[in-house]
Amino acid sequence: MGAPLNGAFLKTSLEQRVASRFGMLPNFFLLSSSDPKITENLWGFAQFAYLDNPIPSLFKERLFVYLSRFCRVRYCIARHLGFLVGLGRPAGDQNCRPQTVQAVLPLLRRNVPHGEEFLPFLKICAESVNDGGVFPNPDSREEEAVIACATHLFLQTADAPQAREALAHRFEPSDLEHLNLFLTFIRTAHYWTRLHPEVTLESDITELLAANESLAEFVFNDAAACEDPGNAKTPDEITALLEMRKLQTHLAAIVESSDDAIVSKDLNGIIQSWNRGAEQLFGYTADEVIGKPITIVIPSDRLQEEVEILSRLQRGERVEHFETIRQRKDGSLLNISLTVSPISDARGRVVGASKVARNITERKLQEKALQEANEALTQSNADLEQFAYSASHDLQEPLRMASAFSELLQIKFGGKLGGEGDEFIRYIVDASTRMQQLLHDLRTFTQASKLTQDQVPNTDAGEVLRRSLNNMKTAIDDSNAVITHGELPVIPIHEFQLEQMFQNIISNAIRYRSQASPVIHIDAKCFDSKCTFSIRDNGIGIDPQYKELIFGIFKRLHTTADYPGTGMGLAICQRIVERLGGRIWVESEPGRGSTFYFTLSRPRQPK
Amino acid sequence: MLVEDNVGDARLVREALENSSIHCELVVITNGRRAIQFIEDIDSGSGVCPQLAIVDLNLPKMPGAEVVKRMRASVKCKDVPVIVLTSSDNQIDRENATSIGVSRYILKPARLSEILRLGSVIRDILGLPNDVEK
Repeated sequence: MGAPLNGAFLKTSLEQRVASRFGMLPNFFLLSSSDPKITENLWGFAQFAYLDNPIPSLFKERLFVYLSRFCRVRYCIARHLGFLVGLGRPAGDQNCRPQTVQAVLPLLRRNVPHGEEFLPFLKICAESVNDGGVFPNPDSREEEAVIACATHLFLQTADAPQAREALAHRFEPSDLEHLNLFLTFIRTAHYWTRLHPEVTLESDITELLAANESLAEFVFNDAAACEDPGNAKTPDEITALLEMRKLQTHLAAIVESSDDAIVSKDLNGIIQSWNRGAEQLFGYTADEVIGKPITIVIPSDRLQEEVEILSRLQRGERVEHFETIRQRKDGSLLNISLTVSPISDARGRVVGASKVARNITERKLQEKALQEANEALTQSNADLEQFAYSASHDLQEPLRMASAFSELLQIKFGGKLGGEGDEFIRYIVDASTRMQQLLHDLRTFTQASKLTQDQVPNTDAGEVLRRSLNNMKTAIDDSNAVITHGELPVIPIHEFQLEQMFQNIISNAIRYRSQASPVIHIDAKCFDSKCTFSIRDNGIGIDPQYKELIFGIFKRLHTTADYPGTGMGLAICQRIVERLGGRIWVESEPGRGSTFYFTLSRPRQPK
Repeated sequence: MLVEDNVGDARLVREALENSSIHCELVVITNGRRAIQFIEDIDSGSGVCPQLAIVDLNLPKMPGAEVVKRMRASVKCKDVPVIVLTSSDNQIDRENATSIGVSRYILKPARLSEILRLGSVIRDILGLPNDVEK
């Protein structure tokens, strides 16, 4: 690493002298540590042949850079590029104005002309008027010609003799000697670095190259131009730098192409970087906001958030997926999800923060729309159920009239209307009675969802089963049914609803019996948080294609004449179970009986 | 006195009375306001109190409960027994009826036989012997 121009770090008087000449201390003069005399003489030679050489400084430095392309150690080209663009002084001359990187690039890209291509340059030198030692201006055709000739001479190519002749024509003998002396020093410098593979780039150079991709590209990848490219050596440090640069470029591309806004800020909340995602999200360009406080995107009523975020960052904490609101340049508000991570320096001190902001406005709108739709649906369902509940009640009224008067008709005029009259009255009475039953069941069905929304008490299923069987005593006795059961759990459900379920399913088992007397077994098995009840019968069974249908409202598989019922029983059961978060289903084989299953959650605190 | 807006129900009550051989004059009033007017007229001297009031709760213009309350506040008719005959199975209605001094709360029955049984309930309340019932 090159030492800065600072007395405290300069150990020897030589180092001080070198540094004061160049404006910095090149590592080149630190290579020989065993014998200070060697470095002293090298420095003397450098002054005599290079720094104090009367050739114009800018020409010298440009030639040094150009010829250093042909050295396989990349120190010289990198260091002299540095001098040329103002890191240190061109040829140690504090009166020489450095060039810009842009102005140097054409020189670096210039090929060495050979054969036919070289002839015009030879001609320029041979035909030029000997003008008393004035060296050509940078980037002039004449400079190109002189450098081309000097390069052939330097590399000792086949064209070297013509090049020497052309230069002899171009320059006064003393100027030519100074040029030769300078070429000799460049040779020496290259050779010296090749003998010292430990030479490293100074930090000002690594920074320059890291900041200028085209320059770095040239310095590191121009090995083809070397005299012996096969042995071109790229120092480990440069390889590492190259890889780091590649990685940085790659990471920068990722950051830049991200749809999320990625922003960095210092601990005062001043914006340091601003990617394209941030430009799109917030509407500010990077140029507009870098150096400005991050609060420009924070709505005034949320400024306190930034204070809290900064204090958390200072403690080294991360803020993850913090959902908040930010303001765009046009004043509109955005819902964003924010992740803020502290950035630490090499010593582990928090020096700033990176912020990733994702636009969740769309998601928030969707969530809101979904919630609203859900609420509307819930309301609509509740309205519908309320309607069905009221309707089933109100419809009972006229039906009661029809039913009562048809019965009255039968009592008062039965036998006086003729056989058909009695038959018709019977149809009216039957239909009214059935309608009443349907409405009653419909009311029970809608009631099922109303009640389960309240606090659900724990109920002893065994006790409820005994009561249900007692209620159905007549039907059980009439059918000679044999009903057994296993141990049943305590479960959260309204007693009368479980009673309805047992009665509906067991009465179905009795009603849809086969030739044999009904044999019914009720059981329950509990695993984890659920209990599964089963009610197995030996009845007529259910065709698998109707397994779902039977749970529908008013759905029946048989005529009322064959098997009485409203078709609401299982619908009520399903409604009760589903409202409690459970499930009901049937497994059956026609002719071999059915087993109805339903699940219910176990009590949260078992007794 | 029967306060009932549904003519069908009124006819059924009459049927039940006949069926239980209760021979009486049945005054049918079809809305709550008129029923209150009827009670107020009695209090101011025109007409006599009915022996029994059968009141539906869900009435046009004035709820049946108001009719019962007015009856209980009446100078002349405050002791007349009241039967509520309603299709409301609501627990609140039931409790409310008891609190305002209703003798019986009867749900409008669905079956004719149950309607006719209303006659014997009335005989009970009026203190008539029930052996006349067929």
